[in-house]
Amino acid sequence: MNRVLIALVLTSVTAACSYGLTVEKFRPATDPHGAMARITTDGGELRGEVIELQDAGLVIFSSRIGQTDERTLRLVPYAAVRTSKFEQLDSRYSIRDGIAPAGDVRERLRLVSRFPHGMAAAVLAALLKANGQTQLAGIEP
Amino acid sequence: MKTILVVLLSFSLAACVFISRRLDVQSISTRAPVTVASPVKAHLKDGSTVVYPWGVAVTADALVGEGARHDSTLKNSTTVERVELSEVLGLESYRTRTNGAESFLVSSLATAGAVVGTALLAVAIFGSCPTVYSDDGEVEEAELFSSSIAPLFEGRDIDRLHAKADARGIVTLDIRNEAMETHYINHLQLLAVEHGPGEVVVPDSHGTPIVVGTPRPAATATSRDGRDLRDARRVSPVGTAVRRHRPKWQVGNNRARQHERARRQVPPDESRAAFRGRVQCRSRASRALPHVPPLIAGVLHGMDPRLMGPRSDGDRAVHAIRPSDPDGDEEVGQYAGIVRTAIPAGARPGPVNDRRPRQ
Repeated sequence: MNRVLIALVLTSVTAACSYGLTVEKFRPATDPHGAMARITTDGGELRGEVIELQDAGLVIFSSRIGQTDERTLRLVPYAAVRTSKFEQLDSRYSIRDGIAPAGDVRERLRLVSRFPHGMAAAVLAALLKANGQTQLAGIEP
Repeated sequence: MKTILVVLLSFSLAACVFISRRLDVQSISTRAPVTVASPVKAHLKDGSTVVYPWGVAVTADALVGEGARHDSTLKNSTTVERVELSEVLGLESYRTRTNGAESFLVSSLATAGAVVGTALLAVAIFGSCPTVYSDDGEVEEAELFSSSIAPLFEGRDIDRLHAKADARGIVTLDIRNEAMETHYINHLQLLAVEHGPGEVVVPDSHGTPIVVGTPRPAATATSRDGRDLRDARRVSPVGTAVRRHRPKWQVGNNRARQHERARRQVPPDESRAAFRGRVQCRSRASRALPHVPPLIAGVLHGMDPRLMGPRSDGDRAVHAIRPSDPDGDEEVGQYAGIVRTAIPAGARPGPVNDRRPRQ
């Protein structure tokens, strides 16, 4: 009887349906890029890879919606963010209404950025140089 | 059998088990040796990122494992086996976690929903044949029209009953619809066959009563699983067919009157009521022959109510005991609450062999 019960439970569990995000589905887990973000500001909508979370804002390697040729390293101040959505993350992990993320939201966004431990000045310079920039752009066009 | 049960139960339960998973991203400390079997990303001081898709071992002084090292611009990458800890800024691991509480809650709700849904579905699709009871509904006599599961299969059925007429010559039967389904019974009729004390009457495959003489018990009667069924009630004795009686069905002369009577007896507005009807039939024949045991009663289905008219068959007679007297003068029986046999008002008599159910 015990064997029957064990077989029943095992079969049920192994054949059960599962839902939710897993490592296999989460692209940044096995990709050196950071998570992708879609951010709406007063100046327009941006999308791009999350590079770093700073105290003042979010560094993204962005393109404007509808302008796929543009590739710019931008610092998006939290105060300028109206809404945001981060790739494969729950909606609670977002920045909105100009409020800087805090607590576990900030921690999760930090961990899925390309540089969770921050960029050294030399690294930022190398990125800017590789992209033909001398400094981080803002949210203006 | 047990295996089949286990498999079926497993699949049933599996359909109700939902496992909630979530992604967990955590920083890994390099202070103590640890081995991580899930994907890990290491960030180095020069801006490089090392991706370990299958995990990494953190030793006292290095990261050991097969990984891909990408420079800060992600334009170049190389394969690495070992990275000194002195180069490492930090590590993150990515794991899939199971949310036990949510899984239990969702699975419980799904199981409860499945059980309730299955029960409702079972009630909804359960069906039964009209069942005949006697002795105030205490004795199940027969289940009728087992093959008439759709109008296409409408047909007559005759069953041997054990009920006997009472001292007044009245046979009382309850006919019940025991499931949520619609029955259309066009015609009910009792047949009484005279026979001798040592004879048994059984219907043949065509519904014709056969009188069987010198009955003797079956020598063996076993079920598929080997059980002895000789004492079962449904095992008929073995005997020799003495004669057969063939009821003669024909259209009576009073078809219009009978049709009207049937319409009154089963008003259309009762057609939605629960089917727990009672047939109480009495005839001259049963009054005249109350001493003849046993009474064989047949219940016929699919027969137009106009096709009535028992005819004697020589010395031994087959008496069709009708629910109403053909002359209309004497009420010898009535359908009391037999519903879902409603004949719509204004229906015209159809051809004799019209086997469509009346609605």
